[in-house]
Amino acid sequence: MRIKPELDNASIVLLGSFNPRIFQPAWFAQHKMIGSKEAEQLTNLFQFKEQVVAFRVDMFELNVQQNRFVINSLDDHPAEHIKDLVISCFGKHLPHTPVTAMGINRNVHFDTGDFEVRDRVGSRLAPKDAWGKWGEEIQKAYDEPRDKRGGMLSITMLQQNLRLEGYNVSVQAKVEPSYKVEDGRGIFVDVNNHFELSDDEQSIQDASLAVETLEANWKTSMSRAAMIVDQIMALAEEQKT
Amino acid sequence: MTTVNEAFMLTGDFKSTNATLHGDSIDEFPAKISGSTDTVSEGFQRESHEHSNETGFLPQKTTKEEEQPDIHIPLRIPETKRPEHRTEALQQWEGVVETVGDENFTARLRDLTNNEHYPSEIAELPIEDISDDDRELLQTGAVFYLTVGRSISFNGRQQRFGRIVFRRLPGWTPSTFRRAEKRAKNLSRFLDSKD
Repeated sequence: MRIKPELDNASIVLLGSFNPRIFQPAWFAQHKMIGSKEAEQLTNLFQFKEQVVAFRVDMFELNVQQNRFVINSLDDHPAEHIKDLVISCFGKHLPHTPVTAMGINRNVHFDTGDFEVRDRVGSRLAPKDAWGKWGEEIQKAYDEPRDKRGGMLSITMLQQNLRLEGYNVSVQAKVEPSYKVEDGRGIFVDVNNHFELSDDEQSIQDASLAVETLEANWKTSMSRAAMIVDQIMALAEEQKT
Repeated sequence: MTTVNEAFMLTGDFKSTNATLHGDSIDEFPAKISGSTDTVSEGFQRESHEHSNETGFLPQKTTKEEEQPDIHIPLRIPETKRPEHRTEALQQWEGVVETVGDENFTARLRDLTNNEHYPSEIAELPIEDISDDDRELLQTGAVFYLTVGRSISFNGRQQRFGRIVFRRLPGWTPSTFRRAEKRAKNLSRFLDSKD
């Protein structure tokens, strides 16, 4: 990426049927997916009946509900850690868990260096003149202080023509102003690689296709996300000149 | 499917709106969640899980039947007060352990920060720099990340740090074998077709 991101994290989301009570820090430590001391010293375990369990360690944050497993990489730790954990978890220890869809996501916040640059990227992606009279009204606010301005708040693009063996894939990329970067200078890009998992060869849905898909598509998904983010960065650089 | 439009606002009350939605306090729980379950995008700006999830993935495919009734369960992890500092990785290497001694180990390092510019190099690192949890993972062939970074406290004080974290590699799973078999079959078909 041509601009060093302020934050660059990944997440893996699985949809299916989960038993949140299993996903205790001690269970992960028992199977060597996290360190035992880390599990013992963890103070932020949250559990609500059988419906949800959530905790955070140095490298990731986990949230498991009955229909949803979400793991996010944290801070500056490489995202590979969460991939390793999901593969261990569902490839080795819980292979019979029904998983019907998976998202491999990457989200990046970067600093354009200037509020105006960030704003011009928004205008490039969603030109105000396309909004007719209302766009003109929004444009008028540009003579006013920044906090009175409008503009592009969120835009999402979808690609559905990816053909991969065994599953339907689509990609969504969302661009928004970042509120992690100070002074409104930042841009947030989130790329979601979505895999619908239905295996014609298997009558019973388990986690094997999800694991296989993750192993096969992790790198590509991360690279695709980097390519998309880099394009938005290129727009920002273009707007600086 | 509901949307939380205010979470998209950038200026003015934006931050405070976020703080209201996703603050550190446990008081927010239980939060009300509703909507389709067909979303796999976390699409979040970290504290904005809710709005992105509710915006959802492929919303055009959502039907009333797929919508779940409103349920009251907590959505966010109740955060313990996070340390008042942020860290920034300045340089990162991926290492593969080559030899393990009594006090040090050697590893081949690949620079992830300047991937294209530098070849891999061999380094000797002290074992005491590895956390207690990760020491059991130290063996020839083990993969780790070495990060040199900067920690910036809330008052602007900066501190350099070095960190070694080993990967907990999952090893061979049945899926790995299945994938390898499939690739072998495809390759075999391809080679047959060339005859």
